[in-house]
Amino acid sequence: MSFEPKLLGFLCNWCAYAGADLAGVSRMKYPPNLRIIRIMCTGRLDPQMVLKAFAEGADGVFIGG
Amino acid sequence: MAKPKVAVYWSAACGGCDVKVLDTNEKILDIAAAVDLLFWPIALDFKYKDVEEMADREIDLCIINGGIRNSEQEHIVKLLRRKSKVVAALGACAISGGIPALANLYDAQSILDYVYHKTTSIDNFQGPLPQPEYDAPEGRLTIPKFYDSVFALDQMIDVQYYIPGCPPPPSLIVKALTAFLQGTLPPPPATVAGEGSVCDECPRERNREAKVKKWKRIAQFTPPADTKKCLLDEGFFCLGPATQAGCEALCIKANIPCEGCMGKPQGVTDRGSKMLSYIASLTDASTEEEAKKILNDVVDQAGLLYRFDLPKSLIGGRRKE
Amino acid sequence: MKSVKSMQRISIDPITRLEGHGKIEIFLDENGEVVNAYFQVPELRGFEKFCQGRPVEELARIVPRI
Ligand code: SF4
Ligand code: SF4
Repeated sequence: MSFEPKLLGFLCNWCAYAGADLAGVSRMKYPPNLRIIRIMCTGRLDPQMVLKAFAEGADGVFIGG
Repeated sequence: MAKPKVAVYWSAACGGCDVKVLDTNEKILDIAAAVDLLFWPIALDFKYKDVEEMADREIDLCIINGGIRNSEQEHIVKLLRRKSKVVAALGACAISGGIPALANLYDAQSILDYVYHKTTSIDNFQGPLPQPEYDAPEGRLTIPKFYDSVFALDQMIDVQYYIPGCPPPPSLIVKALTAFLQGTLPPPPATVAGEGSVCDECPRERNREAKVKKWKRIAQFTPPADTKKCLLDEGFFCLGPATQAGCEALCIKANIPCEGCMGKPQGVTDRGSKMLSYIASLTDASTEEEAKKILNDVVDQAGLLYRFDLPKSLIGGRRKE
Repeated sequence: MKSVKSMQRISIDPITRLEGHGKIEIFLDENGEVVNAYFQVPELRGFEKFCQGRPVEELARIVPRI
């Protein structure tokens, strides 16, 4: 059985999220394992959110921004 | 009108919370006169049997201190829940496990093994561990089953009110009991405490520009001559900003950094990581290596950040294999 | 040894008006004489274990809550 990790991404509205958006608009493909949450700034990311992601079953957390 | 019926119980507690009920000083007399006490092991001679014989919901207010460490405590708090209209959790242990829940960093087996086999003060040459059942020549004896972890009260039963602190300040106990007697308790679930965080009650002032190059242990503590200087800014783990107000910053007024006994403030899910984010933003590092170096010097991060609330934290406790 | 059947048992559960938890079981024979009594302390915290590795000055704030 191959391992399908569940990844949660916290992406900054102004850079990484815009990048992911652009990737979508340009029809670039990436694996569906990453679920993205847009945040208004990476500075808004609270360590609680990262811990909560792991506690609820994420295998990895990606912070972009 | 009949007096309201009140019960007080302790589970995995040290007795400090019960003592704080008595520390309401002369007010205890008014309280005792205003209510009928049906059960209070530290002060009155009622047995578990008496509780079993009560009608369901007979107790108007049941105050429980202490977390749940073993099967007897689980049984009794569930019994009391059935017999009570309102349940209030008193103190850090009942609310979030408290100090005894530091044991959640280990499993039951390693605790029993250490306590009964390895401590230097024990001489257990035959090596038995406490057993839940023992057949004595006269009959079977039982003791409660020691659980693998400590649980907070609301992980076992519904809790309507929370009175935080380790131990809770008598002023909050009086506030809660007065509100109960006057029928002015807020709608449940509610915490009876102050507004905001301990920093809001603290006479010291945070300096927004402060940066910390080295986090210090309280053993290295010499109180800053300037009593206005914030202890956190000075590099001491003061949990004030991530701790519920209500204690009037007692410890800091005595020059001791807050250890967080009042629990998490409103709106916080995981207090330790909230505090960590304060620590991170104060740490004076420009690269990851530098930050690692500074933070690696902090001894016992789990014990500092999660001293009172492991069962209710997002990290939970020990690593699961 | 007297037979277990005839043994009457008095349980004092919990013992009250002191700091701590406990239970006493007293066994009486058919004449009401005490045969044996057991005092049981059902509490264990594990401070011995979970104080390990913590800064010694913090213990002054940890162990009073025993
Ligand atoms: S961090 Fe501590 S010392 Fe500083 S203001 Fe808050 S409670 Fe007071
Ligand atoms: S200052 Fe902190 S440790 Fe001291 S009583 Fe208040 S909440 Fe508890």
